[in-house]
This record gives sequence, structure tokens and C-alpha cells, in this order.
Amino acid sequence: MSKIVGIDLGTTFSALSYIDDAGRPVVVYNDDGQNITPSCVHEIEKNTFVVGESARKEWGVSKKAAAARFKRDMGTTKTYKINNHEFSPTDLSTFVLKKLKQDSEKEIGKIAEASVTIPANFGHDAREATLLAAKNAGLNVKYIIDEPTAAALYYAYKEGKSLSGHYVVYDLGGGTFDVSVIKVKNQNIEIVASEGVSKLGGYDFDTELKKLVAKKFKEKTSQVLKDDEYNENDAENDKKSLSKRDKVRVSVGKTNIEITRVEFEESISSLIAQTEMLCETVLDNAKIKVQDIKAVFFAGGSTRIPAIVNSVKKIFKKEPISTVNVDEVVALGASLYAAFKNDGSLLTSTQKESVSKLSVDECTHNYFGTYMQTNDEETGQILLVNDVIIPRGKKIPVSITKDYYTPLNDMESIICRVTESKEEEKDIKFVKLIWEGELEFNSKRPAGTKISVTFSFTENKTMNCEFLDEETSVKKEIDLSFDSLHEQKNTVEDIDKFLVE
Amino acid sequence: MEILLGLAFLFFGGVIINVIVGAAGAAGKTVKAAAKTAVSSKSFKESMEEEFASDEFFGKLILRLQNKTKDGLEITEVMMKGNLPNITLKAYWGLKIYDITEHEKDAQKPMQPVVSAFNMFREPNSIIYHFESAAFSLTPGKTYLNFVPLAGFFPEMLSPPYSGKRKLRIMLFMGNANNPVQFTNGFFGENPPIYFLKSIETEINFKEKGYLEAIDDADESTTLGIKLAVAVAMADGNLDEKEGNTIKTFIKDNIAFYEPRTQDKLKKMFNDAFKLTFNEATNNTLSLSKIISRMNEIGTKKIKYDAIELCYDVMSADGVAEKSELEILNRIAKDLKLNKKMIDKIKDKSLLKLDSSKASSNLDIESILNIKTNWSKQKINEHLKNEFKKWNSRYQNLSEGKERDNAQFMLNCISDARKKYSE
Repeated sequence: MSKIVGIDLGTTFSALSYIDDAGRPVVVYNDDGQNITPSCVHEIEKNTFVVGESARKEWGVSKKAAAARFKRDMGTTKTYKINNHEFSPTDLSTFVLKKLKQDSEKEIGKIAEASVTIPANFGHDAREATLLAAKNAGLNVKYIIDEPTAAALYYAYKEGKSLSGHYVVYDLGGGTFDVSVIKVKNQNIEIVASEGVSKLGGYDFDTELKKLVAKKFKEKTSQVLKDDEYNENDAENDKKSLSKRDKVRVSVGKTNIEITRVEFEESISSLIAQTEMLCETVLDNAKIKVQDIKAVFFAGGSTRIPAIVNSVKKIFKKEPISTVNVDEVVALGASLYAAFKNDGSLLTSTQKESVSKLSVDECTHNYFGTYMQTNDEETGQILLVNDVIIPRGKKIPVSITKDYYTPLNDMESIICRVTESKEEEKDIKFVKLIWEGELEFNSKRPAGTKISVTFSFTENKTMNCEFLDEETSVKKEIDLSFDSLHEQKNTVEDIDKFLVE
Repeated sequence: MEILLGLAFLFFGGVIINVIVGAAGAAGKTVKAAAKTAVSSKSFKESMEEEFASDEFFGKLILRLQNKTKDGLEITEVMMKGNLPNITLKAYWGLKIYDITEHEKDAQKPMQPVVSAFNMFREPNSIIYHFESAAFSLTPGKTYLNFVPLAGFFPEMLSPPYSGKRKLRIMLFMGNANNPVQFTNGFFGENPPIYFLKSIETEINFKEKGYLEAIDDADESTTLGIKLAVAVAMADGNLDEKEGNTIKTFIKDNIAFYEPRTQDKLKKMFNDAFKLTFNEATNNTLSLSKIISRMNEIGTKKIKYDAIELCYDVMSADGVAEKSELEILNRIAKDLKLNKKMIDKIKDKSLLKLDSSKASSNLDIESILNIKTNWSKQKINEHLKNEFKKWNSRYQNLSEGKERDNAQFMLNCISDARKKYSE
């Protein structure tokens, strides 16, 4: 039988899991024998690319022939150069997903359906870019799921009926940080609030450690540390050592430098301050007090850093729980999600039974709105402002209609816009315009014509919008789902020819 | 706009409405057309038909004013009752308001038009108050049996020539929608196509400065804005070339629409203010208090916001937010007694223009983040949390590039401050 899988497309490492015959989520090992695959791409010879550990090693040595950490730029126009090739983050993610698919299919057989995880903080563009990468990799992605939600699902599955009440999922990975407050009853999970920072993770800690080593090296030798003398991989390895030991000795040529854990923790303290503010924010948004949180569950490799553990203890006044492999938990949760969302046709009775009690109630993480014209009370100027239609924290699926009116006589059309923001922003500068088009009327319409605007956010976290002139029934329907949009974007049709079989 | 359109609903019931922005081109149409939105034709017609349904009473036309409060804003409705002209016409109601305080005392003195602070209640080519309803079909033998609200105005949004108690003449007229009455600076020409005209008088006490008083002060208050900007630029002891150019551009923009002779006069006035303030700042004889105090005496809100915006533009012109510049800016913003949220908006936008790579060790995170050092740690941390939420969201929504880098820079400043003030 074809398999249902869950994929954690991570900044530094990615993982794939499936539901085995006994109904348990299990991580599939890659061709290198690893449970997690470095999200790195390397051109080993002309037009031949590899993904994984060898690419990670190459990227540490030279950035010319390899690329990594591109997930943080998903949905942006940024490009990465590998030798003479220029790739978008979506293209590079396609390479990684293709590698996961190929390696896994050798182990478990054909993959029929997949769910892919994304950071809670991902906006519309990044979400759609992820879906496009999966499609280009030949995956049939039925659902996308937020990383902390996936982790919560796995913890709920594992702990079973022992969970009841409010919990926090703290997901600090290689590139992004997410924190969610969830409400669990038996194996039903309700996502109460979720927050995230796009660029905060292990990679940033590595960068700080590199700076610290460079500073000490300069103090000792008066020389500037070169990239090839101490690279990102060296910093990552030393960071991992500092999670276990009080100090590490870094050798740069003939120079030995000692870095203590205290020094390293001081160098990342500003970043930890950001995680703390985000934790406080998510508690505020969930309208819940620290004492009402039953436990904090960890996900992501960076939660192994002792300073992070201490910070979490300080904020939540309790010892965090990491009873599972924090590198795998998101992928494991993703496969559970894919399985329980499936109509059952791809599951055995044992697998069905395994996920039958699971359920997830998710909520919107962002605000969705449109532009409207208003008068600034303070200056008297007429302004274009963002007006929220779907607020953050609404249980999904959700559909909301709001009425607007045309300002002028004889209008033949209006511009319709769809916006997204993390906070309730009025200023259009600080919202993301995710769609813009025109509703053309059949005839000239008088001022005050009512336009009903309906925004619907689906279970798959995509948006459908309608701008309707009620009197004439003329409307503009917008499908912002992946399937309707992907044809407008560039695709990497020739990605297969680059891959090493 | 929302308040304005709320007027229509005051007359015909409902809630304040939102307005979708018109398609390209449409937004540029005249305010005259926009003013028509205040009354929807359908509701208006329904209202009229209801009134004309009975023939029990046919009286002469009477006007009445009625004051109401909506969302804390005073609205004066112009109500009418009685017979309408016995004609067939595609008609509309128009409303004009004149200040007759001086005219009443001395008939030789003209009535003076009243200015509207609201773009949508203005004549097409001037800032003078003007209201037109949507068009409706008038047929002979029509009567308003009861008082019906036909038009209205917000006294707070009106500006007469001078402040204090002013006598106003409210003039309601009926025009031909196919041949609307043309107005020039508040008045119509000879033989206007008016089919009915009636007026009523009222007295209103205006606390804000009148438009003639404000015009007298406008050039001086712009000069004060330039002086404040020079003070900000010179806060670090030097006038950077980019800072100087920002002020120069502001001066150019402010004189562009005048005729050549006035341009020369204003150019000299503004340049002199620039030079004088530069010299005073160089010699440490500049009195910021005096400039602010005078600005508070004569400056309108708009001029004050223009000045603050210029000051922030100057601050961000060289890409660096110096501690001394931020300190002086915070003081100006506070002493001009403007809305804090508006100031924060202006400030946030200017911070996005900075060059975060140039941030020096002299960076004052307290000034950048609006932290008062006399606040408790708890208050500071609460403030930082809100700033963090704001900039984290903005980082997410800004496109790749300098502005996004600056949002990241702000996040870094916030986390440094958190580190500094955490218990």
C-alpha cells in the first residue's frame, strides 16, 4: 500500500516520517544512514547536485559550490548562487524534498500523500513557496501544518490520555523559533495562540559563536580570523560541545582559543531575550497565566542548549519536557497529521485505530484584511489604511463578511486587495499585500454602492476571497490556494536532471 | 471619511460605513463628486416618497437646525418642512455656509465663506465648505409634511475667518442636477440655475484659530519648522550634507506653488531662518524653547506635523540616529503636544530609513525605543514586549532590503534593551 508521510522541511536539517504497519509514526533513515538530512545543496560536478551530509561539509568549506539556510528566505525574491547557477529558495527546497522522497521510497515504497510542516510565523508567500517546492519534488501534499502544532500532536499522541489542560510547545530549530499555547483534552488539541520569529535559531547561535572566536583570535594574534579557518560547521560542532561541557578548545592553525559556556551564553543572551519576549507575548495572546501552564514541550535541536533550558525554566517556572528526540518530533507529528486527515483509503485498520482519537483545532496566526479609504482624525487627511477582516486567533476554517461602500459616483470598477500581517496594522506600509485585482462593474455605480467582502480561511490555511456588488451580483472571486496560484510562479521543471540518482 | 459618511446614516439610519478605495483614476475625481456620497439616492428617494404620500398638510417651507451627537462628534442637521417648487426637475440639494458677523455690523462688508477641514465637504477647486446631495426626481405638488433632514455639517470641521463667537448663515438651495450651480470661492455668479433658496442663521463659538488668522501665521510657522529641523540637524554639532539637502528640499517644496514674487520673498525668509538657526546652533545661542513656544502659539496641527516629519527626515537623512538628535526630537515632539501615536508612526517610518550598518556605539537605545529611564523595570519590559511584537510583525511583512534590515536592527535593539533591563 502506498504510504502517507510527514515532512519537516527544516532550516538546517530535514526529516521524513511515516506511519508504520503497527500504526506508529516512525522516522525514515536516509541513504547516509541518518535520521535527519542536512538541508544543504552542493554541485559536485557540472549540473550534478547532491543534498545531505556531503553538501553540508562542502558548504562549511566553501559557499561557492553549495547553498544552505535558504528556508529563511522562502517566499522572497532572494536568490542563491551555486557556481554559475542561480536558484530561488523554492528551487533549493525542491532539491531537499526530492532527496527525502527518493531515499524514503527506497525504504518504505511509494509515497501517496504527504503533509509538510512550516514555521508558525510563515506568511502566505512562504507557505505557497513551500507547497510549490513540494509539488516540484513530485510530492502530493494534501496538508501543511505548523511546526509547533505537529510537535504538539506527537506529544499528545505519545502521552495519550495523561494530558489535560494548557501546555506550551517551544520549538527552537536551526533557523526559526515558534512557541504555541495549546489546550489538550485526551488527544484533542486546540491551538490557542502561536507566535514566531523568522530568523532566530541554531544558525544565529553559530554566527554569534563565530564572532566570539574571531574576537578572541584577534585579541591573541592581532589577526583577522578568516572564514576558511573557522567555518559555520566548526561553530556548530563547538556549540554542540558547549551544551555538554563547560568549555571547548578551538584550534585555529597553531593558535588555541578557549571558549567557555558562560562566554558563549553571554554572546547569545540578546537572542535569548527575544525568545523570552515571544513566550510572554504568546501567553498574553492566549490570555493565560504561567501558573496555568501544565508543562512545556520541547522541539528542535537548539533546545539542547543549557541557556535555553534555563530561560524556559525562568519564564514558565517549570522544567521543560523533552522525552522524545527533539530533532524528529516535528516530522513525527506531521505524519500523524497526514494520517488522521486522510479519508482512511490509504490506511490499514491498525493505522486508522492508531490515529482515530487524534484531532486538532487550529486558529489563524495572522490578520487578513483589505485596503480602505478613511479620514485621519488627527490631520484631517484622507488616507489609505489596512482594515482587518479575519483577525488572528480565529478558529479555522473561518469565513467572515464585512461591508464596504464606494466613495464616488460613476465608478466603473474598484481595486480589491488582500493583505496579511502579524499584528493588527492600519498602516499599509507594514502589511503584506498578497493579492491585488479589480472588480469591474457592469455599469457606472453610484457612490455608496455596497460591496460585501468575504474572506474564508480554509483548513489547509489558504484563503478564498469574494468582493460582491450585492445589488447587481457582480463579483470578483479570488482563490489564493496553491493550486490556483502555482501556474503563475516559476517552476523548476528540469530539477530531475540535476539530481544524482 | 468614515465620520463623514456616517452622516448619511444619521439621516437614514444604520452604522458608520467603510469605504473601498476607488479604482485608478476614480480616486482623483473631484471632491464635489465625493461629497455626494453623504446621501445615498435610494434612501433619499424613499424618504421623500414617504413624506409626499400624505396630502393632509401643505404649509410654506420652513428651515430648522437640529444638533445631535454621533460618536462624540457634534453634528448640525438642516431640516425642512413644507411645499416644494411646483416643477419637474432632476434636482439636488446644496448647502453653503457664510460668516456674516462683520456683514451684519456693516452691510458694506461682504459675507465671508466658511472653510471645511474635510476634503469631502469642499468646493471642487477650493477649501471652502460645500455640500451637495445625490440627485432626485422632483414632480409638481410635492410637500414635506414633517421636518426632514436634508443636509448637515460638523461645526468642529468648519473654520470661519476668525475665531470666537461667529454668526453663520446656512443657505439651502435646490439645483438642477443636469446643470449644477457653479461656485467660485464660495459664491455663485449672476443668474445661477437655482430653483429654490432659503437660509437660516445660527451662532457658533469657534475656539480654534480662524483661517485668515492662520494664513497670517502660516509663513512664520513654516519658518519655525525649518528652525526646528536645523536644531535637530545640528544636535551633534555638525550639519551633514544630506541633512542640509533635506531641509533645502523642504523649502523648495513649500514655495513651489507661489507666484515668482512671493516665491522670492518666501525663499529669502526661509533661507534666512536656516542660516540664522545654523549660526545660533554653532554659537550655542539657539533657544529651542522659544521656537517651540512660538510654534505652539501660532502653528496649526498640520504645520506642526509637517515640522515634526521634517525633523525626523533630517534625523534619518545621514542614515544614523545620533543620541543627541533623538533626545532633541523627543523633546520637540513632547513639547508640541501632538498625538503620541501619530508621532510614533512618523518616527517608525523614519527609523526604517536609517542605515543600520552605521549604528555606532553611541547608539541610545532608550531614545530609539522611547524608554523613559524613570520607568520601573516592569513598565520598561512591558513596553519592550509591545515594541518587539510590532517590529517582529513588520520584519515579517517588509520586503527584502534596507527597510527589512532596519526592522531586524530594531529587534536587536529591543533584545539588547531587554537584556539590560531584565531582572
